[in-house]
Amino acid sequence: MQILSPLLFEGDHLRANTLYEDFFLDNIHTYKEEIENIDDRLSVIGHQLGMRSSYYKDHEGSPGDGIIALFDDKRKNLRLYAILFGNVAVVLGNGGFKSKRIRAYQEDELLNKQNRALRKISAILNQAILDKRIIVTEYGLEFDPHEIFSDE
Amino acid sequence: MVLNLTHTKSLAMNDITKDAKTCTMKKQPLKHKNPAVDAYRNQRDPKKKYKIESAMALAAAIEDAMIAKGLNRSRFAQVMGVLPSQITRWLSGTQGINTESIFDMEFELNTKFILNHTNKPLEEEYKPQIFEIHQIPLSNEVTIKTKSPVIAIAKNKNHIPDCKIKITIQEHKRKVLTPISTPTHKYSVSKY
Repeated sequence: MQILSPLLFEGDHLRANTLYEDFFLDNIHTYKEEIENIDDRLSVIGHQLGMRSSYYKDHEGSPGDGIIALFDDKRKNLRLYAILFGNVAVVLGNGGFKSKRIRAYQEDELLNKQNRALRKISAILNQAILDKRIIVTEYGLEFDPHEIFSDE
Repeated sequence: MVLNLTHTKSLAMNDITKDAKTCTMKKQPLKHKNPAVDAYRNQRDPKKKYKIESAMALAAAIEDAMIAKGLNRSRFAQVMGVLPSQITRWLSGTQGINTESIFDMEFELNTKFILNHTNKPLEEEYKPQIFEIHQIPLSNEVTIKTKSPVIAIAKNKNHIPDCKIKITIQEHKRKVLTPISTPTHKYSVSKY
């Protein structure tokens, strides 16, 4: 299972961290145990078991955009959003703390923002797949490593 | 909005897919290095990862057995006498499962998750693993590491040049192993 995370531009500058690394570093101090757990789980998915439907909650974005919430568990504090491409690749986005007092991510400003950002990314990637700039193979997403994907 | 994609992790499932992938994928995404994240990863307790790995593997084995038995989650919940949400938690691999529940599952699914104390030959209890060889690496040697005592080797393309195949069985060394399809004359198989 190919595990990827986007590196965004901020103005003209490429950011130092991928979205997943932002999620990791933003939460490691407050939720160390949980972040380590998520990181280890991703490693097991990537190296050994692949993705299974029991690891995620789907339909977390617009219909058909493939956005999922990973390891969504009532007892946990963090939610991590990602885009799933069949059983070959997962593109990790960002996420954050989900209060026990809310049911849907739309009720939380930060989670809503992260989810919307990922929907835009999903739209860009899906367009790149249609344009054949990204090829979905049995090994994952294949694309020029120096290619910049944009909605412009 | 502009974005570029980079790896956060290495991807290979095992040696074979790694070799095949390296040979087959023309364009590889870049591997992104982040010293801050790596510093945290390097401090990590390997025991914790082992426990997570085992819990996820157990959950995956239960799900596979459940599907093989033709049960969906709600039916399996009925059989086990628990709520469907409990099954969801078990299959997510995030919740510890007590041994009593595992024994219940073993009985209901007619399989073994923990101990093999029966007289059944191991071959009956493990599904065959089929390895597809897509392309031979430059070293002209393919190493298969497997935990399964029953293995089959399938060629992906019609013409694959001669190469050495080394099979390493990681467990169950004491058993006499029988491949389900005899490798063709093109392959020299070392003793396993």
